[in-house]
Order: sequence, then structure tokens, then C-alpha cells
Amino acid sequence: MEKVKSGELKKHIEEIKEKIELNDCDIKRELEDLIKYRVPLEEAKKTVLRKNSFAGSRTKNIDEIEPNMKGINIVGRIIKTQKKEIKVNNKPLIIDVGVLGDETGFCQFTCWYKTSLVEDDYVHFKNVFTNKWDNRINVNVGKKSFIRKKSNNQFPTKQKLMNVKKKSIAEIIPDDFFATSKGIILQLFHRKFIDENGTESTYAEGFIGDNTAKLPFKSKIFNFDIGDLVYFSSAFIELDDDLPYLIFDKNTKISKIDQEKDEKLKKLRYDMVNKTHEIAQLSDLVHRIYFYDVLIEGTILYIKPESGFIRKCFECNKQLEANKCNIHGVVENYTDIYVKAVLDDGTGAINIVLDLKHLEIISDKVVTDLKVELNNDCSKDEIIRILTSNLVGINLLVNGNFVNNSYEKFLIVEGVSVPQDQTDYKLNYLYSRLSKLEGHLSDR
Amino acid sequence: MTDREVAHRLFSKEFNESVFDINNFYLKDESQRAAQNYMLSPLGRKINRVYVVGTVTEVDIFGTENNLIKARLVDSSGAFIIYSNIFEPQVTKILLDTEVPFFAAVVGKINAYSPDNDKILVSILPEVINEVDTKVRDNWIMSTVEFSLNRLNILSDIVSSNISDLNDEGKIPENTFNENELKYINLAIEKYNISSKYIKEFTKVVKKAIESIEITTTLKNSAENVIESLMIELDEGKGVVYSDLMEKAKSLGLSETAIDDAATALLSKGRCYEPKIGILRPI
Repeated sequence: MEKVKSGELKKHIEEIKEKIELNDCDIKRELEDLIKYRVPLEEAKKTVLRKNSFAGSRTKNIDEIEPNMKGINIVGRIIKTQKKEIKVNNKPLIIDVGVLGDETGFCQFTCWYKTSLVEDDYVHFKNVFTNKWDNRINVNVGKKSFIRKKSNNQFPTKQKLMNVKKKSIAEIIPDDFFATSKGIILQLFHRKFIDENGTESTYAEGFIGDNTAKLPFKSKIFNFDIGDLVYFSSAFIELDDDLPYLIFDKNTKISKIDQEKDEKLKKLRYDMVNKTHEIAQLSDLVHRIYFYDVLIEGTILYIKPESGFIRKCFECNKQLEANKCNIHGVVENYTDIYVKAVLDDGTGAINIVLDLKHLEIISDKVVTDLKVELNNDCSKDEIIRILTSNLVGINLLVNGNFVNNSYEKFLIVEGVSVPQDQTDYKLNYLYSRLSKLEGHLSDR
Repeated sequence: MTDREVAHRLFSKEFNESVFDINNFYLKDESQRAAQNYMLSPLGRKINRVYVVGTVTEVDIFGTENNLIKARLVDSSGAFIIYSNIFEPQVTKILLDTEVPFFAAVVGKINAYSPDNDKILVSILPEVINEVDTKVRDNWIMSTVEFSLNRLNILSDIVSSNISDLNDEGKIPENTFNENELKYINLAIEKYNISSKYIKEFTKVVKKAIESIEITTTLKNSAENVIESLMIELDEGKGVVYSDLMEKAKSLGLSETAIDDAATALLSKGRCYEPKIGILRPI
């Protein structure tokens, strides 16, 4: 092993220290680590410099950052922050998570150590890296990053940043972080909950919508009723399994709009917004990030090979992993079928997941076939074959919430039905269209 | 992540005429090939995957090692040719184990080849194939007719208007197609020389397809009539035992499912009722 004298090493450490902000111990440890693996000293110095320098980095606006960037600087104001206890390699760790904002937008951040950051701080994050977490871009402040708190009266305040541009409800996307819009309260429930201190209080949750879309919301104090048209600003957008919902908290301004005064607003009525379902086309849907409560008519064209029998927990109806429920541990369980299928309507294709209660609605035959095979302990291929021969080609009417995350486009199925036989009606409609076309053609 | 290709529903006439290779996939040099093959149909569809339903009339095994299956799937306007490797278990099982003719739904990808250099033939490389009933076939025809009519409408509008005006905004009448789809519709007009004569010809194909549904519907109605008259004939005041009815109807040439369907339809329409399980009584 190449021996390097400690005095000589110190000289090199000083040399490195001139170029990067890192303490002696860390440089020494990294250098020695590399030398132990027979890396020549010159090469080791280069590696340490390259690994730790962010000379090439520059300050980026929040709308410029993308996932998997390294060594970038970000300046912004802390909008929200919260301490979280997590476990890394079975060791407890306290981290800071929150939302950072500047004039161009917002992003999530995670400090991987305890900090003294508070809301409304104007901060300078140096040498940070980004990734994607919960379908949102996340800025990571790691061990080699620096946080500088500064004071800047010129920079917009938290309230000003949170006051985002007004949008219609369909235009609100999770990356906005805050939403300003107006809508009608379509559903409302009051729920009781007990907080950490043991005091009981209620919160309201429901759906708010306009004639473009609808969104769920949660609020601690809520003095409005179903059918009211309300205006809200600076509502936080939280994500639950890739689906966004609004949170009306102390920062949110919310007020009722008097519809009588404005002619335009008179059209926005409860019965107009909460209209009965219309069948959506998949081509309109697939470029969206999410959509609540859609109805789709399509044909099952493929059963994915991951389909098969699964075991579910009796209490929470979630799939068991290694015979254990993630929440309840070893529990009583039951067998269900997991069918992952492709639904196609000729304009687009999405994935849907069906279970036993859906299959019972679609076809009795497939359920009896499957139950026979369950007792016979058959192979997975055989289950796929049964599902394919019974389901491919079947027309279905499904409703649920549409999600488009980075992995797939799918519908969380809430209800399934087989469309009614409308052959006569459809034939009449097609004949009338055909004769119209023939009329046009003979005119010319 | 790339999106799954949409399965286009189209009639065999349109499919077999889709010979224009959009991204030069079938270039002779394999290194220059694009990732995916897209063929342009005369009605302006960019086809990769298709979903078709028809009647399988012939199944052959051929190839030097007997490892290929060729099948013909017939719809009202012609036939699709299906080529499949014998080692595709799902497809092979259905094609070889089912007695022809039968209704089949096929999901597959378009594949083109030219035996001599001037003619291009297209076939389907199936992913999934399934034996289906007339209901699935009727549904497929209706949705295919609707998709084809949408395209024929816009084609006739474009063809009859002045071609040079096409790019002006507002000249293209209201339609459900986006810019990208319109691009391919215009390309199809250019490449296949679509004229109003062709559109008229295709309209006849569509008409024929719709008419093929009505025939089956009347058949269904006639089955209902036969069952009802049989029931009245056999009833001696206490109703008819269902198995007796089934046997009599079978001897008249009706299939078991058709009888079942007709009996259920009669029950739901209130033309007969079930005083005891297994006994039907006409009203």
C-alpha cells in the first residue's frame, strides 16, 4: 500500500480546502478512503474535488428545476415547514419537510437533519439535489449542502407568494401547491376527530366543483352549506396517493359569493354543476394528471399477467404482504381476485383493477370458473386464460377517479356495470347519420 | 413512460388498403428502422394496434417447420389475414381448438410485407384472441361504424372544399379531431388520392355493416316468436316444463343459448312468467 505521510497529506488537504467548503476531517477521511483502495493521490484529489465542488452550479428559479439535478442553488421563502421523525436503517432521525416558494412557483424540500428553519424565513440553499417524491419535485438538503438565512425585504412575503393566479377547478394541478378559484359546495360532511392532546373537535370535508371539474376539500372551520358558491384563495393542495385535495386552513381566505348580483354567475348553479354523468372519451382524459369521478365506456382488450388470487386483510381490505397486513400484522384474511386489465375505447387506453365484487356484476360464469380453480389449486397461467376467455371483448361502463402518475395511467374503479343493450337506439342514430352523409355526398 | 397504443377499430377494407408506411419502418436497412411501425389508413388513421371482430373461416398451419398459423377473419367488407407463431399459447389454443366458423375478437398489431417489391400486403399479428358472441360483434360493428362515419364526414368536407383553403382557420368545419389527427387525414388524402367517389364507395361499406346487424336482430326476434308460440302450443293450463320446451325448440334447429336468451327476453318483457322454478307459463 502506498504510504502517504501525514504531513504531506495535510498539505494536500489545505490545497483542497482552498477550493471547496469542507472541513479537514471530512477531506482527510475521503482521501484516506480512496488511498486505501490504491487510488493514486493525484486522482484521489481530483475525485474529492469533483464530488464536493459545485463550482459549475448556478442559482435556479423553482420553475427551472427538474428531478435528478445535482449541485444547484435555490433562493426562496419557506412557506410551510414541519419536523418529522423517520427511521433510516432502524435509527431514528428528525428531518425537516416543507414547501419553498419564489416568484416562479413552489417546490417541496427535505432537510435531512434538524434545522432551525421557521415559516417566512428567506433562505439560500446551496449545493442541493433534486428527486421526485409523491409525484412532486423534491429539493433535498443533504450533508454537503448549506443553508444561509438572510433578510430581504424586497423579496415577496409568504402571503404574497401564496396568493396565486385564479384558475378554473379543472386547471388546478398538484404542482401548483396553492390554488385560488371559485366553486359550488357539492357535498359536505362533518367528522369528529381527537387530536394529540385528547381534545375532540370536528372538521368538514366534501367536494367543491364548477362546470369543469370537482375536487375534494378538508377544513377545520367551515360555515358554508351545500349549494353555496364560494371564492377561496391560497388553499393548499395536499396529495393522497397521487390524487390532490384542497386544505382550507388559517392562511386560506374563503368567502361566499352573492350570485344574484352577477348575471354570469347565475348560470353556476348546484344542479348545473352536479349534473348526471356523461361518458368521457379517453383521448380527453389521458393527457390530464388526475380527474375525479369520471365515467368511461370501453372494451377490455388485455388481461395483464400480474393478475391472480391475492389474500386481503379482513379489517382494512388491503393486500397482505408476506402473510402480514402492513397495519394490523398477522390477521384473519380472505381470498380475493386481482384483475389488472387494459380498457380501450378506441381513442385511448388505460389500466383498471377489478376485484371479485366487480366480476360478480360483469359475469357469473367467470366467478364460478374461478371458484372451481381456487379449490383445484391451479397454475397462474390457467387463471389468466380463464380471465382472458371470459373478459376480453366485453364492453364495460366504469366510473372512478383517474390518476396519471409517472408509472401508469389508471382508473381507481368505484363502480362497474355492463351497459344496457341499446342496439335499436344506436342503429337509428347511425342510420340517421349515414343518410345525412349520403345526402351531402349526392348534393356535390 | 410511453403510452399504450390505442387499438383502432376499423373494417377490413380500410385495413387492407393501409399500405403507406408513415415512418419508413420497412426500410431495407434494419439499422435505420424506427422503433415502431405505423401504417396510414385511407381514412387517415395512424395504425399500430387494431381491435377487430369477425368470423374465423379458415385456419391453416404452414411454414417449413409447421410453426406458423394463418387464419382468415371475415367481416362485412372483406377479410383480415392473421399470422401467428404457433408458440403463442393463448392464440394457438383458441384458433386450433375451436371449430370454424366462430365469432372471434382479435387484438393485435399491424404487420406489412411485400412479396414482390411493388405490392404491399398487411396482416394482423395477434396479441390476444377470444371466442365471442354476437353481442360483442354487434357492439364492435356499431362503434366501428361510428368511428368511420366521423372520419368520412370530415373527409367529405375537406375533399369537397377547395384544397388550397385547407390551412385557413375556420375553413375546416367543426369536428372532434385534434391538429395531429387532422395532419394524418390530410396526408391520407394526398397519398391515397381520396376523391368523393372513394368516400361514396366507403359509405356503402358502412351501410352494409349496419345492415348486417339488423339481420341478427330479426333472427333474435324470430327465436322469441318461435319460443312463445311453442309455449302456447305445449301449455295445457299448468305451464310448460322448461326442459321439454328446450328439447322441442332444439328439434326446430335453435341453439341452446338462443333458446335461453329468448326465454329470458320473454320473461323480462312480461309475455310469460315462472310460477315454479323450471316451469314457464305464457300469459
